[in-house]
Amino acid sequence: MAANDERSSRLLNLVTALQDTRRGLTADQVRERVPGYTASEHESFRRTFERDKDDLRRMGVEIEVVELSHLDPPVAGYRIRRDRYELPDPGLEPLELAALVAATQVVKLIGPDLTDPEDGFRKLGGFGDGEADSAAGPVEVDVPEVLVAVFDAVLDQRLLEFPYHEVDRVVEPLQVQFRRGHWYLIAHDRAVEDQRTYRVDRIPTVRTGEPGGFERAEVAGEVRMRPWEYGEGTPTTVVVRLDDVAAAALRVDEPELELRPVPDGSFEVTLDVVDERGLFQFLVSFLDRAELVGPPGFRSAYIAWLQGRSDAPDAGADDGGDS
Amino acid sequence: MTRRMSAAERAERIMSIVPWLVTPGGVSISETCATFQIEREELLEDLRLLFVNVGVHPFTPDARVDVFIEEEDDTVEVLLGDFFRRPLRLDADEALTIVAAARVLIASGHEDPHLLAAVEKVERVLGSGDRLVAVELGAIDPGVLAEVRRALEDGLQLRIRYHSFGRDQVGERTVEPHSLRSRDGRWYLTAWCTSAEEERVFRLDRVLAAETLDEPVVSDPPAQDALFDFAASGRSIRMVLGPSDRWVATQYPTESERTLDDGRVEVVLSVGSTAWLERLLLRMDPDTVVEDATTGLPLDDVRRAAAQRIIDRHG
Repeated sequence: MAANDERSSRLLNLVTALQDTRRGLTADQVRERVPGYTASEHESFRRTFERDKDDLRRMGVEIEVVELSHLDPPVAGYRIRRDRYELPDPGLEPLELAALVAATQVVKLIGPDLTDPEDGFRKLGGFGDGEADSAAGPVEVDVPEVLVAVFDAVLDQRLLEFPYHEVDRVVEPLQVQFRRGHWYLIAHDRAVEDQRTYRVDRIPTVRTGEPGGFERAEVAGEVRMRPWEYGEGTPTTVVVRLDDVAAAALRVDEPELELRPVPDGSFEVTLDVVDERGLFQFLVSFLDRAELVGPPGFRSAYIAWLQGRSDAPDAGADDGGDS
Repeated sequence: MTRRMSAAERAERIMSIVPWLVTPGGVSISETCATFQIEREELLEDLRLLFVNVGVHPFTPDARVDVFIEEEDDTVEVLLGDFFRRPLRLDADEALTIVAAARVLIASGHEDPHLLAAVEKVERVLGSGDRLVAVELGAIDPGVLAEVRRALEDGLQLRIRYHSFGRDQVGERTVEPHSLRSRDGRWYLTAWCTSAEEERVFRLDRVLAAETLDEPVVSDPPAQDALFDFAASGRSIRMVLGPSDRWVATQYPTESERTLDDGRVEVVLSVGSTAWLERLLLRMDPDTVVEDATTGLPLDDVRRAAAQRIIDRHG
């Protein structure tokens, strides 16, 4: 038998053997019962078994390690709980499968750790039947490095730990969102006991817990996303005046905001501001097409903030930048 | 499927397909090949491997996977005991690729009831009553998107009112649309601009109005992607980012990036335009040193002039 066939067969036999036990098999039993291990020396068996376990884990088959306490002394046992790794039949019709396949052909996720979804479609029942509507044109979506790990935690309800804005967070991940070109994680933050939104591209690394680490809660209503709405505190009503070009740009970005025409041809909008710095950073994207009308305290704070950017470096008040 | 598979990939393929063959009376070989996009010989080889090699201890006939291949009748039947009754769960990357693609396409205005039904079924078997991936693309005027699509389909010219964000100017122009694509939530129209007499890329969220004309498109589309270059100005800046400016490196494609001993990050970015640079500098820490990557001259004056213009507006 070719080496590759042998290896595929060994993996399949390992899966059947570890399913065929309720209590779990000891390593010795695995070696006895799975053809392909039988002939190997103890050390090389160990190495091969470890590698096979890794391969199966990558396929989505988690091998459980249990303590076989009926043995004396107790030893580690291995088993696969089939209900844990089986995919229920989604009952997809051929046309529905074809629609999904077409979607993955039009929408390309670009990033590390992403493979062709071919195997995924086989698990779901094949590639379906029907013509794709290709008029949509390619849609490309960049995927940050940790998104797959984050999504895995969402799927399996694993706790996530990561540093964010220099604070270590422990969260229960609920959903990922792709909004306006950025990926966000919606999660229940255990420290503040509330749902929070994190930008995934600002999460440098994650550590994930065991599957089933929490009970999945509902995603709370609309997430506050605008730059001036982040943070805690009572919002202040701020009026901003925009010329017609800036107003058109804002109308596209924030269609829910009401833009009121004023006699000189420009527009006014009212914003509920929590994060002053976030508002300033947003306003400068309009350069001199936007004016902060009031309240006076905010207006003078904005002018002072700008002065910190117009003065020579040594004369300027250092109020820093912000993300 | 000509690429040579690894042993693990093949085992995964077998575990994925075989459960769908466990149907009393068997299934058609050719239909199975079509459904799973696999060559007939590959499928038969997989099944033979399963039949010859796979089972459970002590590998007596009743403890093996039984596979009946009836080549003349084009049928195959698999009797498995219980081992490969269901396929494996989706891996996180498979689930993400499939669910996100569907949700992004739906959010982009693609109305297909089959797709919506399909993604909801998949999310259900992934174990969630809630959506796993929520999508909201960069908002654009649906009227503009529809008009641009119509012009593209009919091969007609378009008149657009466009806000050039880089130069911060608004103008009317007539374009010959060539292609439409979306990247990271933004839509881009590649078109021959008859006023500039060159191929240009237009961001659809900056098209304030679009109107299809009766004139046909006569220019040829450019070579694939040749124009899709965000940094066409050729000018680059170099800066050293402290913690409060680290977002710059994640938000813009950098030409180079290097972490210094003190933890700060030195990046080189290409500059879109003066207005682009002004916005960037205003948002950054004013003490961060930013210099022209070629000449090494500091760019504080650019930031100062922009800040002063906004202050003057508040005059």
